[in-house]
Amino acid sequence: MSQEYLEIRGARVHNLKNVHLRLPHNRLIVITGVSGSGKSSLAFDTVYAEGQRRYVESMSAYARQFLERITKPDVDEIEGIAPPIAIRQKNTTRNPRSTVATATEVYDFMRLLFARAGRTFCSRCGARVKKDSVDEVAAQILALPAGSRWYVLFPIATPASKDRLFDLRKKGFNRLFQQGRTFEFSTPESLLEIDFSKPLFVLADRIAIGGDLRQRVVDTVESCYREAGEALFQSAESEALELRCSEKFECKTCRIGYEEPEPRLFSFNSPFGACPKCQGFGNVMDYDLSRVIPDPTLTLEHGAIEPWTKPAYRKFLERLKRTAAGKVRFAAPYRELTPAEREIVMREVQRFFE
Amino acid sequence: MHVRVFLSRYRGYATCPECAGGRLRREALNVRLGGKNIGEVAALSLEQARAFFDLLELSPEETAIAQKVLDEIQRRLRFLNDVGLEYLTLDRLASTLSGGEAQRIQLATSLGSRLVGACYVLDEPSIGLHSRDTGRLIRILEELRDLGNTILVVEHDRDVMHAADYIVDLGPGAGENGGQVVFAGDYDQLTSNGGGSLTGRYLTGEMKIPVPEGRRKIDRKQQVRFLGAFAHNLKAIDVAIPLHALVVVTGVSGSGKSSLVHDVIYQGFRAQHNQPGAFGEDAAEGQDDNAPRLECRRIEGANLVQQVILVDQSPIGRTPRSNPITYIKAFDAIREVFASMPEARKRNYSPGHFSFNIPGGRCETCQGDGTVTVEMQFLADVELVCEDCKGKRYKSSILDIRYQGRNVHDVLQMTVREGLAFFGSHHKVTHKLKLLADIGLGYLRLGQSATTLSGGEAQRVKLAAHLAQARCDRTLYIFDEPTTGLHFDDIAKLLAAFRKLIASGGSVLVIEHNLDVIKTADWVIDLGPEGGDGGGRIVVEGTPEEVAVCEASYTGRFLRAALKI
Repeated sequence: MSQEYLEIRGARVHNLKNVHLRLPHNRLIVITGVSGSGKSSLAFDTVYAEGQRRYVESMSAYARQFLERITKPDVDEIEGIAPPIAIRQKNTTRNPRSTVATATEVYDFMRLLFARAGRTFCSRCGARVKKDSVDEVAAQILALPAGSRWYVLFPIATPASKDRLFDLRKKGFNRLFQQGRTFEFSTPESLLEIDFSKPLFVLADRIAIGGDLRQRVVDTVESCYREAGEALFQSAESEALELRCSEKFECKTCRIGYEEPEPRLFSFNSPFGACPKCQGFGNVMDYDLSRVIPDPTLTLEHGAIEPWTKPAYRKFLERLKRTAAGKVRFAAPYRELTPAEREIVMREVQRFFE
Repeated sequence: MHVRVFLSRYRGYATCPECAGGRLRREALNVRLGGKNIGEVAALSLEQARAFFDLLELSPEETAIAQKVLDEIQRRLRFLNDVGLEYLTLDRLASTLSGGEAQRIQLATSLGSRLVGACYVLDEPSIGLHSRDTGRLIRILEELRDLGNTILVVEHDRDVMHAADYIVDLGPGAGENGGQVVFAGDYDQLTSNGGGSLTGRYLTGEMKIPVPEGRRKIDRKQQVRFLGAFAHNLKAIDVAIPLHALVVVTGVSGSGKSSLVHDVIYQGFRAQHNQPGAFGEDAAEGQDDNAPRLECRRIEGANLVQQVILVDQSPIGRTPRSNPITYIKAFDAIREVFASMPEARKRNYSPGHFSFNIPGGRCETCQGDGTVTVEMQFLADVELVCEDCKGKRYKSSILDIRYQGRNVHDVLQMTVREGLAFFGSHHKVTHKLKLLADIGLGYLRLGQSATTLSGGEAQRVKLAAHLAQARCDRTLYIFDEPTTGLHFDDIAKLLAAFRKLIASGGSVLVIEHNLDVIKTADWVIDLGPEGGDGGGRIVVEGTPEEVAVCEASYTGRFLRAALKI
């Protein structure tokens, strides 16, 4: 930095008495003094205010009109002032969407990290959801036992239209495949035996594992993906043995398609990520548990559920006692109940409120 | 009662049943990283999150695309831990943070932004920090400096001063007696040759706040017991608060001090006494209009206390019309003095004519403000001195009335100390002004508008107002970090005010990190041992000497040095 000092000359803000001061740059400086001696006047109302004012002055006239016009602090001269940043003892956040993670930008990076490196799992079976890249598929196929023979298939939508079949033939696919049988376009009469109510496949290739097969597998899978978005490897020896791969982002077992994670999926401030019920607030207007159970140290028997202590509603407690006998401990303080017990109680409370 | 009306009493905000408070749609939770979904990660405390991300292993491909992002997260979490916020969870609402926590988050964020060549101006960053954590804060400040920034800190903490490269001491007194540079130089110069600097004399030990010779006896019959306190992280603890004594609650950040004092004790009393909130504005600060709730199983001995008053640092008023003497109700007496002047009686002026808040005597052009606000359409409003009264707030006929040669406007310009001498014979006035002077506010101008008072000053004006009420008997005063913004010298005055409250029959309960206050306490309750889930228990309670010898207590360790045991 060209100037090594922040130099203040003739500061008279509030009670400052024409203060002259040289403060070294790039140092940790403490301003101290008894309460009311002018510490804040010097730090905030002089140094910070002047730096801020100059910063705003440097903006275009258009931008300036939106910013509050800052009055010049009563000081003769301040030299060597760096852009100031004030960090005050004040929590100005009132926004119910702002959290520690979002305020510190940690959440923004977490969203990015989860979108890039997160792994999606099927919500039904828990299996990994992923796209199968051609390279991965090729590597997987080449690792199969040498000498084993496989049909490489892709499905066509049934009932298949005549146009679609002609189109496929024009592209050079000569065989259809269904339940272990192949049907050739060159012998049209055999096509009559196809059961169009069942899944129908196109036979893209027949391979035997071994040798330098890689390029061939890659080409075949690519053409399957191009036509149907997926490829099926079925063992020629056993019909039950098959490998499905798909360029779609879905669970290979349950065939449930998933959306590929994007940063916005993890944002509760975006409609793509926010819980549809609460719009990302985490709260909804409903009965308030802390009012229903104001004192969790009470037992159910002794009126943990406040509304049920009223004579008119005691019958709900009686009903719970009947229906949940043996499943819920009525003599234990509410806070000691297990989640399972609480759920039974809450179900009854829910019914009470409806 | 109608069923609907009855049920509506139990309505409120409840956790969303769909996302269980996680805020995200289900699809987002199918994605996992290191075995956790993003909701589970957000629920971690900053300390746990740091460990999670530090141990996270990525595959080589993932490393290629995500390592930079991971680095950013790790760096930010490290800063957040370093500023002593390890007990906060990532999904903690920002609006529920204390001022100090919010400031330290901002500090950590600034550090994360790696800006160079800036000038950071900070206001007492050590507030709300236990002595144990101040060291970490200093390292953060040094790191920020070493990046190539200038750090300007307004601070009273001894350790921060010790770490500073350069110290500016302003003074020598406060208000009109201040505003001069008493000393500028480094710590060694300040302690060896401070040139009369008050700060220097406290640092060298030449002046100090003495450890009291004897402590008040704790009367076991005079105490309030809170049984099974469970608010936030409190672990169903039983707490006894001795009365007619200075009781200090200590503990590291997040150990449950505020939960105990605000949520259990203050709210508990309010619930028992069904007080709608002592002293208007204090209660109005709370965001909920809910009825106070009992956060413990039972309170014993609540009848020993008639009223509970929370004296916090919120401003005493948001309008420039409020000022110290209107707040402590000394202005009424001053107006009576003026109305009793022969000239005033001749013109039939009542005390109301000397108020700038009601029509009568005030200047009607500016309605007693002294300034006129001109709206400038697109530009910010401009405040101009009122042309009619020249900023004097009153009609000229009112200003004709003089007491000992001064009119009411002149009086408003006086400092408290000047006022004290001026109104010498009027006890109703001096009695109240003296209270302000006694707690170190002698430098305030009588008419200084409330908006220009600092948090610490506002708190002490409130304290004076309570002292003025003179019915301290059976009253419990609660203070949350009253030393905020106070210099060593001011702390001595604050302690004197506490003694006064207790002497007139009151009890004082204080949350504090300042060792000078802790060592003068009659009874210390140390919570902890750690923050967040690791806290919420009573580590030790007793006299400062008893706490100092407790090995498990962090406070005790620092207290040992302060008491020179």
